[in-house]
Amino acid sequence: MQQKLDELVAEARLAIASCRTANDILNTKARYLGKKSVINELFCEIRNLPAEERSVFGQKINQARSQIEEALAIRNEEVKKDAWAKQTSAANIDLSMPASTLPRGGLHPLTLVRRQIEDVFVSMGFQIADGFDIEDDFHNFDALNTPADHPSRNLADTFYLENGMLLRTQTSTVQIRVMEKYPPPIRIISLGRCYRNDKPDPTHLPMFHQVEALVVDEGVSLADLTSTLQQFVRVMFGANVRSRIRPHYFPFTEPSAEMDISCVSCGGIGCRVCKYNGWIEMGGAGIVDPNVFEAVGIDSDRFTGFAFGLGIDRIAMLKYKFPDIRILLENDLRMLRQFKW
Amino acid sequence: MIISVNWLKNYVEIDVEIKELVHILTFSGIEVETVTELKALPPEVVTSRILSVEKIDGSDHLSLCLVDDGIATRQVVCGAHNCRSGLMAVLAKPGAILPEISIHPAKIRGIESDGMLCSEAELGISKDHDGIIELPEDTPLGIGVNEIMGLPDSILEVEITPNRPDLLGVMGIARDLSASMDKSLLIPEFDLAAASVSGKVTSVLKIANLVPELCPRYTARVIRGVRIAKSPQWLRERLVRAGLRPINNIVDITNFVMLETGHPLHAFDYDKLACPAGESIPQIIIRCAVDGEKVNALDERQYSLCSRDIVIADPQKAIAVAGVVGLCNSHIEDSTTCIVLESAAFNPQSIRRTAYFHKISTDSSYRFERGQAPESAEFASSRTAALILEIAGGTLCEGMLDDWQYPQTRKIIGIRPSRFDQVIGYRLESEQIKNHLCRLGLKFVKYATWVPGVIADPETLYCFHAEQMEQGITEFTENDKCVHSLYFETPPARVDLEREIDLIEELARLDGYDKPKKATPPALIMDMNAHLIKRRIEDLFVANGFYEVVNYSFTDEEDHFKLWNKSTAQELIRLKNPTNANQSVMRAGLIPGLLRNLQFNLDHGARDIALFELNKIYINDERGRICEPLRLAAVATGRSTPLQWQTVSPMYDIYRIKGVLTAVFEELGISPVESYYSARPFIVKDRAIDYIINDQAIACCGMLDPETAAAFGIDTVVLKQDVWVIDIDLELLISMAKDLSGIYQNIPKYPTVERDLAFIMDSNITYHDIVKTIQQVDPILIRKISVFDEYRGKQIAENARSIAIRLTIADDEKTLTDAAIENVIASVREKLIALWQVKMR
Repeated sequence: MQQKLDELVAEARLAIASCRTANDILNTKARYLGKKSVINELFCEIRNLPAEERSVFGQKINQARSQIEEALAIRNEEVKKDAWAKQTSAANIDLSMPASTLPRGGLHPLTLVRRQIEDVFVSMGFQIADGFDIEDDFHNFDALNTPADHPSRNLADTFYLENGMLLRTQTSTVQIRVMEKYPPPIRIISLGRCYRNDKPDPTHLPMFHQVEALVVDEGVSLADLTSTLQQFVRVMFGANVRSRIRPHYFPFTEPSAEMDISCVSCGGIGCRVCKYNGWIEMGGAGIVDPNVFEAVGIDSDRFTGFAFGLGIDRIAMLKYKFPDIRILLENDLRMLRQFKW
Repeated sequence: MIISVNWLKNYVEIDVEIKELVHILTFSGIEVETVTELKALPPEVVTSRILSVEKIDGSDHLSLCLVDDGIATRQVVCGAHNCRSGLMAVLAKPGAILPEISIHPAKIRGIESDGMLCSEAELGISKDHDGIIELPEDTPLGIGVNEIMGLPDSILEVEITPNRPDLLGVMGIARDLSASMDKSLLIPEFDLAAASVSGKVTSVLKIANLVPELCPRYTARVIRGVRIAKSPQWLRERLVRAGLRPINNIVDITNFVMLETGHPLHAFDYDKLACPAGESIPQIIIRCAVDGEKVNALDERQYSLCSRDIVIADPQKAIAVAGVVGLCNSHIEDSTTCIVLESAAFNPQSIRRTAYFHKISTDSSYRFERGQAPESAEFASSRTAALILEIAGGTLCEGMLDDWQYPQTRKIIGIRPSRFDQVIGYRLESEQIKNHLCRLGLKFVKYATWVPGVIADPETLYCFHAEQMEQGITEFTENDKCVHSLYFETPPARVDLEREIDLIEELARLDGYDKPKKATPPALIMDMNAHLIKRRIEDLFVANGFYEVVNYSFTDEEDHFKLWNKSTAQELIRLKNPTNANQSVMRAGLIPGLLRNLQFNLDHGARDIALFELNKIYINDERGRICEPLRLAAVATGRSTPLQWQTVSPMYDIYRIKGVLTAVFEELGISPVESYYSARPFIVKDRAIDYIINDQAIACCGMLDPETAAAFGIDTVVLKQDVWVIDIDLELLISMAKDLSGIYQNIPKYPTVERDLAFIMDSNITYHDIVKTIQQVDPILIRKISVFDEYRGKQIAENARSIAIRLTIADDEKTLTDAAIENVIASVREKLIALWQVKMR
């Protein structure tokens, strides 16, 4: 009897050792422990034995049974581990092969800068207003305190259209458009294209981009202009860049100013970028001229305002260190691919 | 906190509707959370006297009563334990409709019952079902009970903010209302001095306050000879309406005064207090607990105290956890005859710690942890004593023991009317300031020039206008050195008033937050939707592999005519003084510029190119008006994904281009119809799709005509690449994208099932035809149809193709059975065969 059981266990061990998959394990288990297995048959014979032998006999079968079960459990673990090992085998894997990537595109550097400017000003409570590229004399000149015979009309060479309209020479036209339509308080920026009849050269194009800011409310002062400008410059160019304004002339602001920032390239020591004077000119600014308020029907006694206009192309050139403004409109993929932020 | 409007009316005249009252309270900072109306009882509910009570045979509790209702004598069956002869009770006569039942003449155990003697629960005024209502002996007979019961009434649940402990009593709320409604505050009158007294309190009780920093004031009175009983109806009513359970007259009165003044009180049984060793006068000791000191509280829990807790004790034992809960060893019982009445003030932080640490929250701890002024203790004590003498009888021991070691000095704060204007935005006249603040219990001290902070001595205040003020002038211009201010002494209960800005807040709140003239908000100039959509679409094109370009607004007229025929010439806007010929007209489309960019980059060696531009074009519309609409156009050629070593990188084709446009539409939640045709001459006819919405073309895509490409110097034959274009009317797109937020759809509870179908169909049948047919079979269960294979070739007929489709089926109501799924699939098969003669594979 014992011998018969030993043989059975040995046979089962062999069968278990040859199992390769989880399925093999299940089949082997059924063969040696299942309903039709020898072990099960032996169990059924117990009741035919004399009472005193039953217990010893039963113990022996159970012993054999648990030996087989144990062997099955161990092999099951081995089979599982083998399968995982196969799945994670490092054979024929060269991890240095390039990644599988999705296509990627990118925004134009002018759009990247434009978005950054929009976000800085929106964070300071400005709204973004739209304007027209094609304007009339009134909005580009007259309403901006530049009557027909005014010498400053010569300052910019204006593109005229055959229909008598013109291409705006600065985004200040939006000031008029907004003030005509909305009462103060006004706190807007407007970004867009401007046009001047210039020959393209490394720093000029007949079409360029400006951001215009306009704030009109009670108690707005030159101090608000400088603090807004300083905040903008810090976010755009970094905490170390300083800004300043110095007296200038524009027909639509009084007092008028030009704005400089300390050179982003040399920090103000003097270099080629700043033409060795430490400062870079950024654009025009000033307190809105009372005559401009008159033209749009805003009480110039009650309200004051400031405005400024900055060149976006110029900011992009400083930020990305373009040597020539014309590169921007070439749209060479080898340039476009360079910028992500 | 819960307050009864009837009770509130005792302290302030309320001549407005409840709705208006709720509004006034809420908008002066006391938010009313709920209003419960207690309706008047019907006229059939009257006062009555029980003439006789007779047990009914065979019942252990029912009695037959004869009741005088003032008009007649009625026979009523009653089951209440307190039903007795001579009792003044409340009778509901037949016809009375009560909240729970309607009263009819009835037979109970075969005995006629002509009405019902009522408990409070039966009248719907409390949950008390313990016996019938007992009215005072001297109640008039046969009258309606509404007046006695204080009905009708409105119960308000109000939220008291933590900065206003003074509002934790009905009087506090009445004071605030008196200020916001500009009415007088009616303070309850009593004359304790007139009460009969016997002996001095100092000769019967002593106080030892060992922790004056934790208990700034402790007062005690002794009243002898009180009769403990059930409280009178009106008192019980007050407590019940405020959500408290009546206990006995002494406890009820202390609770009543707490609800009235906000100041919690406690009563001890005098005879349970121990004397110090060798003395004969009991002593109350205010001390910190000993760590581990065990006490049995009135909430039937045992607490193990620690040294941070304050206890009220006698020389032998603690008798209360100070300001939090009383203990069983000293509380008022039916046998009590002599009481000690405690009215004190405790350190709020200490009470809060004790309540939090031991997880006990009582009406008392709730009030003390928010801060009760030591000054309030005296009024509360006197008021309680007077009520006890009136209701429970007894005689007062003369005087009040009062341990108050550091009484506070007066607190005087100034307010500048100009500052109010500056902070709140309108001018409030000095008289209005005085009126509002004095109604709140502040005392006006004087006008003087501005000094910040709390003023200790008003005599130091000075004003340049002293003379004018003596003549009664109170409004001054502030053009000289004198910043004209008003000085007020704050009431002790207002622990929250410490600075000028606190007074400004009081004034703004009482005068109404809606009072300041609204500052004009800035106009909405920015079109935020358009701004966000523009950015999202730019980002979407970037994510699909496109690079953005920026081109000139002006262009060569010839480039325009390479795409469009000469009849479009009147659209063009021409420059009068162009710099050169190739910048002579404003661009009427974005594609010419993009094709120039494409050619430039091809010339410089690039092969896989995808470019887009999102910007304005400039045209004369049909009526000759200048327009500057936003457009988006894109061109693409070569591989649509980067060169990969694992898989073949597909070239741009109509499906990939269509995919980009589909992504745009999906992003904005719009679904235009595809039209497989385009009127644009530069797109190859059978490689073109127009997207139509409301009869307008919102976008188009397709293959660029090789001849047009050649005109821009792009030789597609040599290149062996097709060029694809996309053109979107962005203005129309933005106007169509109206609802960008979306609404949450429940996640399906039941699993979805996928089934595949493959069939051969005639080549002239479109996929679109098939999809429409399948959708119609069961639009509810069939959720998604996708195609995963198409085959044309040797194994099937020349004018046919094989299509493999995957259906996603789901039911929101139940798990789909195999039979139900099979049913759907069979119907789909049948329909496809019947309509399109497909051959299933």
